[in-house]
Amino acid sequence: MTNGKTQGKGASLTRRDFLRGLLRGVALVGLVGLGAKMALRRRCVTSADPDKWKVCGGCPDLSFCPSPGQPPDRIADSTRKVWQLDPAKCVQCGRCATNCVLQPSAVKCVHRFEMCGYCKLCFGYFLPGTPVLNSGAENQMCPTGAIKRAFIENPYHEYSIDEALCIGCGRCVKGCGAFGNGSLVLQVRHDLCVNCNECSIARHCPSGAFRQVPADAPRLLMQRGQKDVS
Amino acid sequence: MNKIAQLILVALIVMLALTVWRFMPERTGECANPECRYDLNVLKKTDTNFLLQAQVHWVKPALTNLTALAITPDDRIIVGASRGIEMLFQDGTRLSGFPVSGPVHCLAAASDGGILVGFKDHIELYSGDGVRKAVWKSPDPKTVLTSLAASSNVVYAADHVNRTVWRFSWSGEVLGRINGKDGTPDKTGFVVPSAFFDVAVAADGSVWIANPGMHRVEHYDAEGTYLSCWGVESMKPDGFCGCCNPSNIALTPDGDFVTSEKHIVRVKRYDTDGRFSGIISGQEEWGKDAVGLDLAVDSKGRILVLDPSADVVRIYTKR
Repeated sequence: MTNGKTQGKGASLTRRDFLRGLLRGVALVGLVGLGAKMALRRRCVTSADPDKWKVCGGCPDLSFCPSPGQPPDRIADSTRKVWQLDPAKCVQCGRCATNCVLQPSAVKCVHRFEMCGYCKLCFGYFLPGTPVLNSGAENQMCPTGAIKRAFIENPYHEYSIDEALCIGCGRCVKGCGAFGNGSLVLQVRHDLCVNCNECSIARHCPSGAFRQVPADAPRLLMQRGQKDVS
Repeated sequence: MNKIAQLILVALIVMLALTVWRFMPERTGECANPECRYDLNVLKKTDTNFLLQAQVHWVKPALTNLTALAITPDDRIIVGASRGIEMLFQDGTRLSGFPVSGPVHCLAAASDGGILVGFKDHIELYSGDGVRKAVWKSPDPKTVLTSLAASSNVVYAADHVNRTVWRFSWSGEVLGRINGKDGTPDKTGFVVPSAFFDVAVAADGSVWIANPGMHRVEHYDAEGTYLSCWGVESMKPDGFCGCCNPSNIALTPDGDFVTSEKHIVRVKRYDTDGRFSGIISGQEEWGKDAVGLDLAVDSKGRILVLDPSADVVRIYTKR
């Protein structure tokens, strides 16, 4: 009987100790996770002095930033650098759409009309295997319907980008590059870009396609024949 | 108690794994975005059910930067490059070679042993040993030639900028042009979004012209009158996909067609009526950016494919 009580008391104490240990373990895991999250995210470095404000890309959300949309200056000169995406290196992974501090992204699809084949079947516009070539949403490659298709003459069609709708996902660029002339490319639009010190997309770009270029030559457009002559 | 402890331990491990996983996707090379599920590798995979059994061997010319391929009536290989022409036997033995004045765009062999060399905007006629016999006048200031084919009476030259096939006499006079509009069902003409526009002559002297933007091959008589066409746009193996395919065509001695495509790189065979026979070579055998697979077929039906990326000629023989 005595042995039984002792065993019961001992068992109760062990459970309590165990639960206490468990809580400590959970708290520890949580702390480790939080610490890792903080370590992987850059801190906001916005200065208290408004004259030194630069949008740094450290903010998870621009609504927290005291200086959204206030880049240092927009004077185009060769000494000032801006971020741009090199289409020759771009793999259209989709991170331009998700990793820009702006939503929607400052990266947009740009159409090089002089390279375009004005194809009836444009793989930048239509999903592969589309049975009927019309502008039905189910047929379109673009998830936001940002590409407009206009009939020119049989069989030629013109494709233009509605930048307000474009999210920079690059799906059309991938389709055009894979099956067409590669006239659709992604580019950072500098009327939108806040020119972070460390571009948030560049930090996540798997192909290293982002680099800084002189502000007076802000485009990196693929030259004809750079990808192929097709 | 042990059981509860084990359960709790498992739960802790799961939580830890979830925490790690939360931070992993952004640090791996894999795409974390659901938008990139559009997988070209799936589209480019060759359906082995359609593969034709063929044996392949390679011939490597001394020239590099190969741009054009032709075959003589006695089955010798002619290749053109940025600055020269080379002739080889099919076992790879070099026969001869000579320099030319500029980058070779296209080639055709004459029945008398001569070689027609297409440059950007004009054609030159050489003897087999490299002596230039004639320089033909350019048919148009905007001309960019992409293909040549010769019958006994007429030389056909495909011009991708003017979207025209020029008909020349053997003395170099322009006999006329085929624009693909007259007599065709939809009168669209040749749709050539890229610099691939091929022409091939049949044994009866008629001419087959690839209309890549319309994903079909069109048949004209020697005078340029439209006769028929075949070909469908499709992602399936029997069709032509992308903006503009087939990029190159050739005819076998028995009248079958051999086509090559870019984007989804493949070499295919169609019968005399344009019915799909099978795939000779699929994407897996080529680099992802392989383009410009010029074709030729010798008198024994062996299929020759130019591989510009490796500067070799692949020769496919039925197994």
